[in-house]
Amino acid sequence: MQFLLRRIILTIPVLLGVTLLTFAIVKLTPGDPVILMLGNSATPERVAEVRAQLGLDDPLLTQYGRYLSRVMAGDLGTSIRSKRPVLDEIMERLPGTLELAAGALLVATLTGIPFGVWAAASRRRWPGPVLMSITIVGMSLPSFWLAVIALIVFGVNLRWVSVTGGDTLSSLVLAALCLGIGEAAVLARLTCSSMREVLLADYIRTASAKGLARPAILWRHALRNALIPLLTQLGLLFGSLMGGSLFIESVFARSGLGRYAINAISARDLPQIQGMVLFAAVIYVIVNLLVDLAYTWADPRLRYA
Amino acid sequence: MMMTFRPAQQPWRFPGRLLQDPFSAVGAVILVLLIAAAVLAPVISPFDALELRYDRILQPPGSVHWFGTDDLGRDIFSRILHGGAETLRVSLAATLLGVMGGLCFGIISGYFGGWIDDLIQRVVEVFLAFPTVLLLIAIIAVLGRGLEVILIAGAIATIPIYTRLLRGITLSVRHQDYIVSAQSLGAGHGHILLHHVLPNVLPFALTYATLGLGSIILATAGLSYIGLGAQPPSPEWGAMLNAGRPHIRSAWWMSVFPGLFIFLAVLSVNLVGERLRVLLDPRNR
Repeated sequence: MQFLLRRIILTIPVLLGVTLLTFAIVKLTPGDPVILMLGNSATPERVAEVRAQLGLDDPLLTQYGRYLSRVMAGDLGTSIRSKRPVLDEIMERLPGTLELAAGALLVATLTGIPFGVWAAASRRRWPGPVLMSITIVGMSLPSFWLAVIALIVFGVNLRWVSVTGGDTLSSLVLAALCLGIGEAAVLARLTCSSMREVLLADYIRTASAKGLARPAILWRHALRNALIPLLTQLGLLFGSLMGGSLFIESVFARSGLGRYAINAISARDLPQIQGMVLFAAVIYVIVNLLVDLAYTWADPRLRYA
Repeated sequence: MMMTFRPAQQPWRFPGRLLQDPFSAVGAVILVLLIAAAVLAPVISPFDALELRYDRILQPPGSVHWFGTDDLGRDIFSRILHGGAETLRVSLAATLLGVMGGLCFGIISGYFGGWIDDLIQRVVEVFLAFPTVLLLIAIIAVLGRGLEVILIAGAIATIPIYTRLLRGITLSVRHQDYIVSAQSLGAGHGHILLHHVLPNVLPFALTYATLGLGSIILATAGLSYIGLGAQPPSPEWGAMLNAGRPHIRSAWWMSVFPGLFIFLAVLSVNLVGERLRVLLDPRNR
């Protein structure tokens, strides 16, 4: 219990630091945000008026305090281009990205974990070392290039999916596969090294000594324990899926947070960029917190540490 | 578990051990070839990388243009040779800056401990609260798009990662006998850091850097692919891939070849990095 409490309290300074950084994004960006908002034709009087209105002449600390209280109330600002609340825009695009990330996670776990178990079980003989090299190839494949090739093969040549992309099921499946393969390779490597350690344990030797079948040892006894350390990697995996969706959404012209971020940067819409970065970072921190909590749940020994 | 590594004892054996493994040998050869091609591009490339030739637009791969020509009539093979200098230069520089920054902060943090360690680690935690790509995007938002911005952003985004990793290594080195005896002989902090801590942390730094280089190559090319990195007419590999987007129905070669080289570069670095990691792991000796 004490561990959980400590872990939860420790995220508060991290979240404060995150807001400080996202606040800094706007402050460090060259150019006057008011002119960016009003356009170049605005009169100096009008600019000064809006500056005062937005409190941009106040001390930085006051401005940060105001930003913090605004953010805590769920207000991520208003987009310059669309004049809409950034949080609303993010919420509209979140499902698209979550769909893609969930699909990729499914691909990664369903292929990566069995692959890793196979590699660990055959590590001193054929095909163990070959399997590990295949995972290096998988890790090295640029997901966006894989996606382009998939579009050429399945879109241009076979005509199974639309080349112009869009939010169809077939393009979702293809996108999830392209994004998931790299993560599957990473997961396979982690599973393999975790399994190798578990397979040296005494209870595994006991299980083989009492004549238990090899598959039962591998999948029931070893894998269940090998998966526990893998839990800690789930947060990182989630982070790289979020990053990967940036590239993949663009290839398949899917709507989602990745394309939202690219458009925001291209248009230099600072509130959109700031809101998007803060939102994604907060989600990432929360996911990592949940992963840690799940870890203590899966390994009760940690509760006494 | 003590993790120590003494390259100073037998430095001449190291390249040999790297080449013993067939996979890492292949990786090392590809990497050397790619770097050589990038450096020698102005001499060995058959055509100009930037010259527009409207009389040979979108020609498929053949005996004259091995990888075909693009929508502006430029030879794709020549552009890929030149583009390697862009992609690899930026990725290598970003990784080098990142790992040097990580070495400084990580060693100071791990060696001195106390409030310095606390301060550095709290800042690192805030940066690690962002997925790396998100941090890259945030920095690009401030500095504007461009290849040089990616170089700086890549360094800033990876310094916290290397700091965290190398602090851990420093901690495991700090209490070893040779450091304690140097301290009891009255050696200054500067001397110990430079002559005892750094040489023992450096091999780990190099290995992490090699393992991290692949991700930075992917990020550099990926960000250029979505238009946030290198801008036309740069032959940077990701930017070339981006230029192929409108033509994927008619000219597959514009997309396939630049991506293939991104893949080869990342693969070669990962193969070498993996071998370095295995060599460093005391369990594998």
